[in-house]
Amino acid sequence: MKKKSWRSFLNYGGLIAITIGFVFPIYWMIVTSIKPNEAILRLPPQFIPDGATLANYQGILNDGNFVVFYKNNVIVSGITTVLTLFLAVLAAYAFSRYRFKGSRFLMMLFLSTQMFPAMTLLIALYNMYYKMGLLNTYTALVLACSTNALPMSVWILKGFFDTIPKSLEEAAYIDGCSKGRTLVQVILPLVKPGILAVGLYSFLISWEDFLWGLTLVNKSEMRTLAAGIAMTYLGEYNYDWGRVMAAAVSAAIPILIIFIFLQKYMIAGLTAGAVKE
Amino acid sequence: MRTKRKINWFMILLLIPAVAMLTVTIIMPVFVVVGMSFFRYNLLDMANVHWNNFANYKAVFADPEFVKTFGRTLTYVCGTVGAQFVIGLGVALLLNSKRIRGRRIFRSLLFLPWTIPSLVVAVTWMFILQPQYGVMNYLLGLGDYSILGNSSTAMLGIIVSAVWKQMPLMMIMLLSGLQTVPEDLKEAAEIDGANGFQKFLCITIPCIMPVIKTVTLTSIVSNFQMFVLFFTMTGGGPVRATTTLPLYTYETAFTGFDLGKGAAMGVCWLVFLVVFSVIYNKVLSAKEIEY
Amino acid sequence: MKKLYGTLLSALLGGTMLLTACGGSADSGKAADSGGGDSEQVTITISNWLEAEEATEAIFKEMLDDFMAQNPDIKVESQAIPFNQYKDQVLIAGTSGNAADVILGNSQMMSAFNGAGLLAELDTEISQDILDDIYPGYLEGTTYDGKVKAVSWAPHPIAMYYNKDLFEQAGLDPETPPATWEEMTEAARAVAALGQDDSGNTIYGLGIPTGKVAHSGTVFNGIFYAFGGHYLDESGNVDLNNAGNKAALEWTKELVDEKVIPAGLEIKDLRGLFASGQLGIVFDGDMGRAAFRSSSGLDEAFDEKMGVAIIPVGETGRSETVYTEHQLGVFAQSENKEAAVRLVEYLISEEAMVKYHKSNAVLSARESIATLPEMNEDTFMEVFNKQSETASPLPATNAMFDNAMNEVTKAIERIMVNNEEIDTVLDETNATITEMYAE
Repeated sequence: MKKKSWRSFLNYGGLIAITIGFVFPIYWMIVTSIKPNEAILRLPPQFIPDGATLANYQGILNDGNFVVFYKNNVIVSGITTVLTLFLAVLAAYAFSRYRFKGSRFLMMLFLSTQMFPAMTLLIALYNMYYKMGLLNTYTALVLACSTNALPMSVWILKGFFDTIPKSLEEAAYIDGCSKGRTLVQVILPLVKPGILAVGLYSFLISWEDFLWGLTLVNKSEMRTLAAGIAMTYLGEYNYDWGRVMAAAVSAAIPILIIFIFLQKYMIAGLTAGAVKE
Repeated sequence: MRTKRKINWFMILLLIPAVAMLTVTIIMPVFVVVGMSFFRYNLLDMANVHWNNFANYKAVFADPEFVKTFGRTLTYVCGTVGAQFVIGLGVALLLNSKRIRGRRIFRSLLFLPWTIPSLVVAVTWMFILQPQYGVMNYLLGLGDYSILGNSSTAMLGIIVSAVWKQMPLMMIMLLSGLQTVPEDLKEAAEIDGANGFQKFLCITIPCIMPVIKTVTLTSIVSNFQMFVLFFTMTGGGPVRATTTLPLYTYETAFTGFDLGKGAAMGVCWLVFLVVFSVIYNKVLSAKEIEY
Repeated sequence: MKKLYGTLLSALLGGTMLLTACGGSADSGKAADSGGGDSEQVTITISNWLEAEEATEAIFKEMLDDFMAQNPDIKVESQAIPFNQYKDQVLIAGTSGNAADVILGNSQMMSAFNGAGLLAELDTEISQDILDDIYPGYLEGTTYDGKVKAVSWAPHPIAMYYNKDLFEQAGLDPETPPATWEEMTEAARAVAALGQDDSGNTIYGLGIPTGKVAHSGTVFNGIFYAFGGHYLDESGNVDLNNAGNKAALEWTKELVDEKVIPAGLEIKDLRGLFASGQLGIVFDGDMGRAAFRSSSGLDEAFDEKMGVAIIPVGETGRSETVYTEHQLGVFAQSENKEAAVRLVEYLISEEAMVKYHKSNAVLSARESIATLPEMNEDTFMEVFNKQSETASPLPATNAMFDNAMNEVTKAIERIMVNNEEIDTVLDETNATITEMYAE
C-alpha cells in the first residue's frame, strides 16, 4: 500500500510538473499582453502584473487591420476545412475500398508532396497563381492550404474507412442502394469522429499558415493572421511584445474553444487513422 | 476480383478531385522545380537560363557547408522528435492510467501549445529567452547569458520551442494509440509473471507500433521543413549554428539568388526523405504484432 | 533516354518561361478596373512596409491620399509586406513580372533589386531640377554603373543617443556629451561600472549591434570608418583585413569582454534596453527616438531623459558614421512609369517631406528641403542634420551586398561570441565575399 501511494505521488508530481512547464509560456503570453510596455522590458519579471491594462487589446482592436486579418483567417481556414474534407473523404474511401495497380504508389506520391521544401517552390507557385489571376484571392489561399492539409487527411481518413467492415456496403447494395448513396448514408455516419479529427487538423494547418498568406497576397485587406501579425508588429524598428502577445492570445482563443468542445472526438479520431495506416 | 477487366468508374470519380487538385497545385510545380535544378537559373541573370550539365548538383555536393547543414538538420530533427516522443509517451502513459484523476483537465491544458501558430511560438520564445529581460534567464539564474546568441545553446533553444509546440499532438496520438491496447493481453502477461516494465516493452510498445511509426514519421518529415522558428528566432545564427536545410535553401535561392542550386538542394532533400520513409516504414513494421 | 528527359524538361521550363514572358499582358485588368467615372484614371501600386507599422501607418496613408487628391487621374494602391520578408517577396513578384510600380527599399534591398533587373533607369524620368537638388552623396548611393536607379527618400544618419540619468549616476555631466572616441569609451565604462540597478537589471555602457541580422554588419561599417578602416578599398575591391578594421574589432571585443557592450544583439534589442534605462549610450538613426518613446511607455516624456549628439571624433579626426535610408525606385516593367515617377517625385517633394518630418522627424536628401527652418526646428534635428554632413553612404554597390553584410555579421559574431581570432576571421570572410562578388 505504501509503495503504491509513493508511486501515485510520483505520477502526479511528474504530470503536474510537465503540465506547468507546458502551460507557463501560455500564461506568460497572457500576462505580458496585459502589462504596460515599461514593465515588460524590466527585471524582475512580474509574475502577477502590478497594474493590468487592456491597452494592448484596445490597440489591436482600434487598429482595424487586426479584425480584417482575423476575418480573413476564419474565412480561409473555414473553406479550406470544408474543401479538404470533401476531397479527403472521397479519395480516402477509394484508397480504402479499391486496391488498384499503383494505389500504393499514388498514396506515396500524395505524401511525398510534403517532402519537398516549400521555400524552393515559392517562385513556381507564385508564378502559377499569378498566371491564373488568383493572387490576392481567398481561392489561392484555400487551394494552397488545402494542398498542405490534404495528404495527411487522406491518410488519416483511410484508416477510419479501413475499420468499417465491407459487409455493410454489400448489405446496402443488396438493398438496392447506389454506391454514392451507400457512402453518404451508410458509411459516412460511421466515420464521424474521423471527419471531426481531420476537420480540426486541416483547420489548424491553415490557421497557422504563414508562407502562403505572405506570398500569394499583397494587399492588407486580404492578409491573414500570421502574415498580418508579422507585418504589423514585427516591423522595421522595434519589438512591440505587448501587442504581439495580445494578438497571439486573441488568435489562439477560437482554436482553444473549438478544441475544448471537440477534444473527445478528436482523440478517438486521430487514433483510428494512426493505428491502421 | 470479378470486375478486374471492367473500369471502375466510381473509384475514378472518387479519386479525380483530389488527384486533379494536387496535380495542379503541387505535383506540377514540383516537376517544374525539379526541372529548374538542371538549369543555370540565377535571379540576377534571368535572361540567361540554360542547361548546365548537372553543375548545380556538383555545386551542392562540393559545398562543405551543405554537408554541415545536413548534419545540423539531423541534430534538430532527432532532438525535437526524440524529445517530444519521450515526453509525449511518458505523459500519454500517465494519462492512460486509470489511477490518475482529472485526466481531461490535464489533457486540455497540455494540448494548449498546439493551438498557437508557429510564428507566434517563435516570437514568444524569443521573448522568454531574451538575455536581458527574459523570464527564462531569470528563473535559471543565467544572468545575461544569451541562450539563442551562443553557438552551443542556440539549437537547444529552438528545439525547446519546437518540442513545446509539437509535443501535444504527439501525446494525443500516442494516448489514443494506448487506449486501443487490449486489456486481456496485459492480463495474460501479468498471469505469466511479467512486471510493469516487461509488460510495457513486450505488449504495449508492439501494440502501438503502427501509431508510433505514423506519428514519428510525420513529425520527422514536417520538422525537416521547419523554417519559421529558425528564421524568426536566430536567422540561422549565431554564425551558422542553427542554419538548417530550409534556411540554407532559402539563403541560396533568395540571398544568393541561385535558384538552380536551391532547387538541386530541394531534390536531394526529397530523395533523402522518400528513401528514408520507405526504409523507416519497413524497419518499424517488422516490430509490429498482430492482435 | 537521357535526351528524352532533357527535351521534356526544357519543354517544361520553356513553358514556364513563356508564361512568365506573357505575364505582363495578363494584368491589363489592373488598369481597367479602376473605373471611378474618370476613364483616364490609371491605378499604380507601391510596395512597402510602412503602411502596416504603427510608427508610419497614418502618415504614409496621408501622403498617398494627398497625392491622389492632387492627381485625380491616378489611383494608388499600397501593397504592404512584412519588413523581414520584404526583399524576398519583391524578388518573387518581380521574377514573375508582377512587382509593384513603385518599390520602396533600403540600400541593401535596392542593390539586390537592381541586380535582379527590377529597377528602371530614372536619369531622364525624374526632372533634372530634383536630381540636382539631391545631395551628391545621397545621389551616389542610388546610382549604379552611372545610372540613377532610385532616389533617396528618408536618409537616416546614425548618431549617438545617451541616457542622461545614467550619466548623472555615473558621475558624468549629462549636458556635455563625449566628443572624442576616448571620452566616449570612458563614459561607457563608467556607466557599465554602475553594475545593476535596484531591481537587478544589468546596466551596459554602450550599444552597438553585433549580431543576428545583416543590418548589424551593415551599420558596423560606421565603426570601421571611425577607426580609419574600410570595407572596400579605393578601387572598389573587398578589403576587410586592414589595420583600421582590426582596431575597430579589437576595441569592440575589449568592451564586450568587459560587459560594457552587450554581445550578439541587434538594434531592435538595443532599442528595448535603451528605452528601459539599461544602456548608457546607443548608436542609432533618427527613427530611434520614436522606438524609444513607444517601448518606454513614456511617449514624449522620454525625450527629457535622453541626450543626442553626433558620433564622437575618432582616428580620422571627423565624426565618422554611415547612413541607412529608405529609397524609392520604379519597376522596370511598369506599364505606368509616368504615373509612378509622379508619385516618387511627390513623395520626395517639399510638401510631403515637411509633413513626414513633422510626424516622424525624418530628414530629406534634397538640399532645398533639408535647409528649410521647418526641418531644423530643435536640437534633435540640428544634430541629425549636422550628422548627415559627415555620414558616408553604405558601400552597397554589388547586388550581393546584403549577402555580404550577412557574412560580416557572422564574422563579428565569430569574434565577439565565439572568441575566434580576428585576423583569421577577417581573412576568411574576405575570401568568402570576394568569391561571392565574383560570380
